[in-house]
Amino acid sequence: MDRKRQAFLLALPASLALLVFFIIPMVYILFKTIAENGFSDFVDFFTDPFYLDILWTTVRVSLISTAVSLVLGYPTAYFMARTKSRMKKVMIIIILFPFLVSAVVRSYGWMVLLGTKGIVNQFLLGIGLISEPLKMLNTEFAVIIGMIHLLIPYMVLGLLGVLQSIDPNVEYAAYSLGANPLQTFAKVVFPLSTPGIISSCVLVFTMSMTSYVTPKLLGGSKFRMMATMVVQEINVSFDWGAAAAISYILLAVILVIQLIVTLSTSKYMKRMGGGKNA
Amino acid sequence: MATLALKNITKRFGDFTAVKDFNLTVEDGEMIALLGGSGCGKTTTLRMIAGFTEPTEGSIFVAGKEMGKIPPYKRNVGIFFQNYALFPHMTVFENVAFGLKLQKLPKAEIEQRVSEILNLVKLYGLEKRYPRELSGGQQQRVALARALVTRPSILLLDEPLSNLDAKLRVEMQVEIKRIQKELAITTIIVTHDHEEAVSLADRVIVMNAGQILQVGSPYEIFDKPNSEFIADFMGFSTFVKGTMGGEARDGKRPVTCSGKTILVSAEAAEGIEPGSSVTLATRSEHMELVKEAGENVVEGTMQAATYKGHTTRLEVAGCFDEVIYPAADEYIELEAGKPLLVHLPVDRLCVYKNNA
Repeated sequence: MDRKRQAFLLALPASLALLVFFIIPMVYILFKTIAENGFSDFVDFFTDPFYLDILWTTVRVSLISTAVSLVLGYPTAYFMARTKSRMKKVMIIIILFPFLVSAVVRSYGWMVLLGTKGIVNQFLLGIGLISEPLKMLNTEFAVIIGMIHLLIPYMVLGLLGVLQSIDPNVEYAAYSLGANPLQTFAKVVFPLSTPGIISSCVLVFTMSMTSYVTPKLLGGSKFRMMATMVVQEINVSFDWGAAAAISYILLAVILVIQLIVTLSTSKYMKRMGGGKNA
Repeated sequence: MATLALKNITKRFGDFTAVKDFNLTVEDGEMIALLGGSGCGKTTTLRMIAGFTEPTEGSIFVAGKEMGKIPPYKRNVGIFFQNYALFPHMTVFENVAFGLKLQKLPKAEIEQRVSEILNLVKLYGLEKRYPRELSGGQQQRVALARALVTRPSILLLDEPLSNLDAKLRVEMQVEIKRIQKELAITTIIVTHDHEEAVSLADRVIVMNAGQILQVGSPYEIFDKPNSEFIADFMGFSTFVKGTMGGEARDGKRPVTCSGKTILVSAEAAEGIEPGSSVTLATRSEHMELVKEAGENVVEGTMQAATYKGHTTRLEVAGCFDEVIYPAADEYIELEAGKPLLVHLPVDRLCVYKNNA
């Protein structure tokens, strides 16, 4: 048997599973919706400020969460990529630890922290910084906090890969040529890590756009994002058509954003040789 | 262009002492090689001069100025890395111009100096290429140009020839030496390859376990290593144990090796008392096969022959307790057990006193 056919056989089980359990249902609900209601569900979405507001909230929360995760995750990943100490292993375990706890449990943790009688409010009241408890739970703020908590491990691990692939001597070379640490970062490390930044951000942004548990538990009943809205349409409004439309619009938005990012950076990525050192 | 002085440099990593009480003065425009095996402290020394790591004790002076806590980006020390460490996202021009742009020089001057240095390293016309589009030799020249273009006061070269094939090595060896002399730049080479060290440097420093073992001209280091350890490191192949004989006659002294008397030069055996246990050392290519018996000619039998192109390396047993490895400059067929006469030239034998 030649290698090509072997490879095909190896890829077959997963491909079949995807086709049967993912693509067929997806296509089925799209056709069913269009067959029953035409494109009215889609038209409704784009003409109703209520839905557009949900789309905008989803994009906004995802952008903020991605940006904050990047800003917080980058220094951590950089430190981990460069340190030679045994702390690195400990840090990787700490970073991986949230994966062991389900998103539901993590969100409950934040509820304990952020609630009106939660630890944060008790502390702020105790030191006299505030006189009345702040409303933090059931706000967009709480959702963003929970989301960042969820996303940072992915961000750090994604960045760690690319930062580790940057030869430390390249940084030393920059120093020896007169670049201070800030200039070395701006002109060498950052440009060389952009492929990792882009891919990690796309991943984290997509996860945030489609997240359900975190907005549901930390955002409260009045806070809606696309994924929570899909469930609400099905479980509360029994409107399968609207649910399908929202699902597809969410998918389309993510694909368009990924397409824009890929196209606008492809020339640069090609120049970088896929992020590998020459 | 400056003098460099290292005074009582010690570097410890935890319990491990990488460099121990290291003293070195390098003259303006001199090319020095730090030669030693891996883990001898040569690279650590280089990194301390560049300022990437601080000495635990001692001071480094460039042009008489103490470097102390001066960060690497203010030292004006150019460094060439073994793996080149080019900026992969920049063109050849951008790589070379990097240091000049940081100095905020006018654009015209940057362009002029980059093209000058690219001419010097014979890379003209490749300015727009990216490092991955260049051959190994070309990448190496870019790295050299990048380190030289800022006119550093000290140039550090980390294994500059190690990644090149034989032909390029010779070419780059000539180039580096030419450029270094042309710019009269104080240079330190770090290498584990004795050929690289002796072919490039004005002065060679042999290091082991963080300490200097021998300092000398390439000729001295190559032909008159001052210890058995260095001789072994410098490629001496044959080591024979013996007992030092009496007084010198005609500038020669006898050594008894496995019952045979071998004459060595009195100069090589200077200060060694009669009766001392010694080791004689020589290179394969200094021994010759002869037809007739005579002074310092020993008889043995061929055990193995390895043809190396311009020489054949032989293993000859039976002359002494130890096997000796003469090289013949012709092709010799392996004939195991064939008797051979080997001449050990008097003035090519190094003598080392063994510690009791």
